[in-house]
Amino acid sequence: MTEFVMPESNPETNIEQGSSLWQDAFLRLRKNKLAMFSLCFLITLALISILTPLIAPYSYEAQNLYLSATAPSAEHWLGTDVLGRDLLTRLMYGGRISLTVGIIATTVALLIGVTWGAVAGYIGGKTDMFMMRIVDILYALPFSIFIILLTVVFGKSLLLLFLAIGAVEWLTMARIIRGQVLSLKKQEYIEAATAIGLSRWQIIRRHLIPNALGPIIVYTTLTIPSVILLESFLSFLGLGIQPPQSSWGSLISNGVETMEEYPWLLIFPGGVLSLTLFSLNFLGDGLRDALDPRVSKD
Amino acid sequence: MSALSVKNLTISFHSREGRSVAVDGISFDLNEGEILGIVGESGSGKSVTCYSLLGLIPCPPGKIDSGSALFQGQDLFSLSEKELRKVRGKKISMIFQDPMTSLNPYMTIGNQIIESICIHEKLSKKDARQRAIESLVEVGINDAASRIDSYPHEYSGGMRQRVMIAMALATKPDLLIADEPTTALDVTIQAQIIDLLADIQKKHKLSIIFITHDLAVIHKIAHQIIVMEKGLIVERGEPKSLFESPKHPYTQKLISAIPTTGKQVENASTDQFLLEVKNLHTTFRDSSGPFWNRTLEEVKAVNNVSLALRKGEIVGLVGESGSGKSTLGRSIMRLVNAESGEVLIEGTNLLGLKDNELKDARRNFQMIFQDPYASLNPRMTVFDTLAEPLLLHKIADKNNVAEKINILMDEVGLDRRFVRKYPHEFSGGQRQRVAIARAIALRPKLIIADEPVSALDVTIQSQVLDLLLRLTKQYQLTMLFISHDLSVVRYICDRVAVMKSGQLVEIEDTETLYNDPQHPYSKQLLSAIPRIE
Repeated sequence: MTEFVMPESNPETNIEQGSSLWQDAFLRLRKNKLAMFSLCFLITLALISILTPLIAPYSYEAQNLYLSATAPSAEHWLGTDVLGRDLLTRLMYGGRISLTVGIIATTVALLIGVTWGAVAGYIGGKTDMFMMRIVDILYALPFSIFIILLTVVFGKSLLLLFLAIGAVEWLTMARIIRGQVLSLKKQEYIEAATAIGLSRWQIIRRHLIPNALGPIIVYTTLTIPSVILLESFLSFLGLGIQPPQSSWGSLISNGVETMEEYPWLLIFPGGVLSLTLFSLNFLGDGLRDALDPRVSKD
Repeated sequence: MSALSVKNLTISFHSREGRSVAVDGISFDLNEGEILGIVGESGSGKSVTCYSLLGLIPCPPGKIDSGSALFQGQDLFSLSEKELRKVRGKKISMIFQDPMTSLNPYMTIGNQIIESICIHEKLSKKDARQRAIESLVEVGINDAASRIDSYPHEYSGGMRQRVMIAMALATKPDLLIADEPTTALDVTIQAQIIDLLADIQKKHKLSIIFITHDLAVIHKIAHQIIVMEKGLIVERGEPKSLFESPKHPYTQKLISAIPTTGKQVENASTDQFLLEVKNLHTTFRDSSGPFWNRTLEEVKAVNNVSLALRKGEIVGLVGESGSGKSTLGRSIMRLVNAESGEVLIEGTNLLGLKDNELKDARRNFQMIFQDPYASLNPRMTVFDTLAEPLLLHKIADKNNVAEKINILMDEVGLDRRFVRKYPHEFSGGQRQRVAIARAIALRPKLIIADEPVSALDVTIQSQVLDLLLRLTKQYQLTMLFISHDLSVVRYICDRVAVMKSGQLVEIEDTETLYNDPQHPYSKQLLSAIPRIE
């Protein structure tokens, strides 16, 4: 064991309850250049999306058939689509939709899935049985039928889109967390926490979930991209966003159709999506390592 | 003549933090037909030395910097991987520490032994099987012919270690390396395995290297002993002279750390009972399904146990693995639910408490766990770990919690500056001190210590035991000390209870029990303790 040099500051002054894991994690994350670069990229993307109505060069719905499918130029940096709409503008507006869907639907999935899985795994027995059978039943429901059912009952709306995606994505999360919790709850430190007198909920929140963070983060970074792609599928079914609105998913699926004639219509949306996904994965890996105090000492 | 001659061996490991030397220029000889004991604590380089002989060290990060190991005219370190494979298992066999993980659970015992024979010798399946049966008989598995087709899980721990030895012997090796072969076993089985190894060694004129951290185990059978510390051989010699007049301070420390005497410190125990356990039953059921609950198997882990602890006394609870001693401790702690009976702490029946009453009552009884690597949350600093019980039970608030934690750190002998560290940055002994600090943070009346020192090295063990003794005296703690190590129990306990198959067979004052056990099982258990005479 290498000798650990304590920071100069008095430990009594910088003590904050419960937040030390995250503080330490951030300090460690700052040393991971790739993860920090990814974080910067994602923040820039988010800022652009928020400011899009102010900074977008053109209108996302203004058509100009004279400019049908022009290649990138000084006026239209990323070119125009078949209907002569500026691709950069549509990409920016698409980012608003895609990122919102990605973040909100994943958050919904995360909240339900982690809570559900942790509670089922920790309580165990019949409660676990009952909760996981519900998950199995929902799993067995074909996704498109489920969506169509939802549309019939509630009508079309963006909110429904979030709900529908979240309602599907949390299932896998719940299973992963339950498996983690099942193995974690046999650990002696969980018994020690029980012996101290912590309630079940406190044990789940303070001891189980922090120790299951690795898989949670990795799965989250995998969920966001799949949600973004799912949105384009749903839009295709007529749920969610409708033309002339755009999303990355719909831009890509349009781009695929004209791939051979106008490749830039696929390359740019595809490129932005890929970069986003890369960044998410790098950031996720960085976070997972940063949140595990055992990975690096310095 | 020497069977193995190691000269000037240096092994280092390379990592991002730099190079660390695991074995530092050691030389030793193993005489033909003798047992060489290598003794040392974890990290002393004893296992690394032996693994390097068979090329079992992962390189990188490991590297054999220099040295030679002469075995039957060949330098083991200069052999190619292909040549080494002919030596491995055929001329040099190895027995590992944990028989549970060293056997493949999906293969029958017989097939595993036959496999190791057929790799090295051109024998027909039938002959190999015959050889396997012979070697099983030799290690004392009686109905070998019928048990050879069993799977590992159908054998007990001791039997599995016998199988491992049979497997090592089946290829008729010249040199046997045994890496802590008895550490994972119960004390009565440990004695049997050691006798078995000594018998086999005599019969076959085998040369054996026996690695262990336990001097008492090795002293009985070894011809030569070397003591290793931090990659160096600090002392070598015959067991007798080594134990009678150890020269190197480290050897002296090792020998004096073995608890040989009874309890020295008198505890101020009173006649008042703090804990009373009455007719406690805990049963584990393996049921077939969630909704029908047809019970398939019932294990009575704790079967009608009654026990009373006086205020301020330390009572040892001994027994083999599976005897229900841990379950008894956990039932008292209400970590597992007892089926019937009473657990009274100062007259309050714990088993009758509701959840919210139990939470408050938990202040009074705390637990210290066996494995200091598993009993601390790896994502919480020492500060958070200790603050949790203090804040939960409102013993401290945010303003004075740091001060209280500093006092706790002092009490268990840890540097105050360590509070912001995570568990993985500590050694095993330091971790166990943190776990003890957490247990005493609430100033409990009763502490249940479940094998608190069995995961620790022997010198650390005695420090932690002394710490426990000091704290129990200082705070008038009552302690139930669960252990399989009878010499440790003798060192620390006022009274000892013996458990077998879920039942309490005897409870008596420590010295009375050790000198004159009544129950046949207590006699058997006590006679199996490895002693240094």
